[in-house]
This record gives sequence, structure tokens and C-alpha cells, in this order.
Amino acid sequence: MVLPYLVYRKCQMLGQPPREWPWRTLVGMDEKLYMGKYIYLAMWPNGQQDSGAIEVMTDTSLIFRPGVR
Amino acid sequence: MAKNGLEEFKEVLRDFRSLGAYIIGGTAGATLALALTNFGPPWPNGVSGLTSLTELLVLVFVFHFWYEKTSDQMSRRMKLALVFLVTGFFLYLYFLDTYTFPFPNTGERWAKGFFIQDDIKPLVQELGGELEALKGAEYKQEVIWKPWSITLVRLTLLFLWLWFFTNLAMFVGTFVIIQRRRKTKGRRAFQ
Repeated sequence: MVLPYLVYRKCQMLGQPPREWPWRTLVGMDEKLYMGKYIYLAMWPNGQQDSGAIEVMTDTSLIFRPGVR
Repeated sequence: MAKNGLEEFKEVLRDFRSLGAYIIGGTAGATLALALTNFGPPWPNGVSGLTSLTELLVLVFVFHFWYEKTSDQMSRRMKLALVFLVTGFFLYLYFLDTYTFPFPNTGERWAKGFFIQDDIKPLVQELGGELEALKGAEYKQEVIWKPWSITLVRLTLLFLWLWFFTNLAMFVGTFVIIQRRRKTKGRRAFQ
């Protein structure tokens, strides 16, 4: 799941709980993202989770792997 | 055989074009041409067509209303056009630098606004400025600035761009007419 960084900071500022944030779910291989800075939250079937900030500045693929990103 | 007004105007236009080609291609070459295409206004697309149309209208105006003016009157107008041309150029550069940003990767310039959305104001400073906030907003200007202020910036840049070319056409057009008139007078004096 990703969220534009500005929206993330706005939600934080308003004190909204993370489950209510307008996350965008990326599930397919062809999901497109605009250029910019995002907050991501990745979850795997084994229950592992990872989160952080990413910057999409070029037209390249993003692959999320447990503990790798 | 005496020329009619339209034929005379076509010759003025031809002289104007040849001078334009000389400025772009002759003196500074490709560097100037590249600079001119790179600093065009961010809106609308195809502004070069609009610029050419404006120049043509200005030349028609100059030819129709100023052709019969005395040399002194024409020279005064030429000086005034030069003053407006130079001030318009620097005003345009100021607005271009202050109210546009280069889009990452392409370097294409996009218009900013000047009124930040109320709910974003506290975040812009915290994130380190407008450009950082834009990056966090997927580079969607309308998220950061009020849409009407973005439109106003676009229109101002377009106006200043056309203002510059209007005065350039006035300056060169007047110059061409003065020179053509001198040539005609010279020819008559020899006959």
C-alpha cells in the first residue's frame, strides 16, 4: 500500500488512525505511480511487514521483498 | 509599375521574416534558438503558433496605422517599443523564475500558484518548501496552490511572452518600414 507523502503528513497532523488513511493498494504488476515521494506499507503472507518512505523519480519497476527494500 | 498596398505589405513581411531568420539563425545560431524554445511559457501547448499570429497582427497594425507617420513619429514609436521590449523581457524572466518549477527528468517548466491551499500551509514549511511539498503531492500543483492562482500565473506568463513578441514585432516592423521608405526616397531622388 502506498500513500503520497504529503497526504501521509496531513493525516498524521489531523491525528487520524493509519487504518483510516486513504492508502492505495498496489497488487498487480502493472500498477502505475506518478513521480513523487510516498510512504509505503508492505505485507507478506507470512505476516512480515515493512514500511518506510520511497521516492519514485524514474520510470523503473519497484519490487518489495521482505527485509530487502 | 506601382505596387498596391498589399504587395508592399508582403514585402515588409518578407523583410521582417528575413530579419527574424537572421537573428535566430545568423547571429547566435542554434544556441539562441534552443534558449528561445526552452524558456517559452508553460501554458498553453503550441504557443509558437499563437506567437506567430500575434506578430502578424502587430505587423498589420503597424503597416496600416503607422505607414503614413513621419520619420520622427516612427522613430519615437521604435524607441518606445524597445523600452517595452526590454522591460517585458526582464519581467517575463522574473515571473518564469519565481512562478514555475522544472519538472524532474524532463526539465519542462510547470506553473506554480501564489496562494497555498489553507490546509497545506503548515506542512509546506515543515517539509522544507514548496518543491518538497510538490514531491509529496505527486507533483499535482492544484494540491499545493489554489487553482485560480495557478491559472493567473499561466495567464500572466502568456501575457508577458506575447507582450515581448508584440514589442519585438513593433520594433522590427517599424525599422523595416523606415528603411524601405528611405530606400524608396533614395531611388526617387536619382530618377
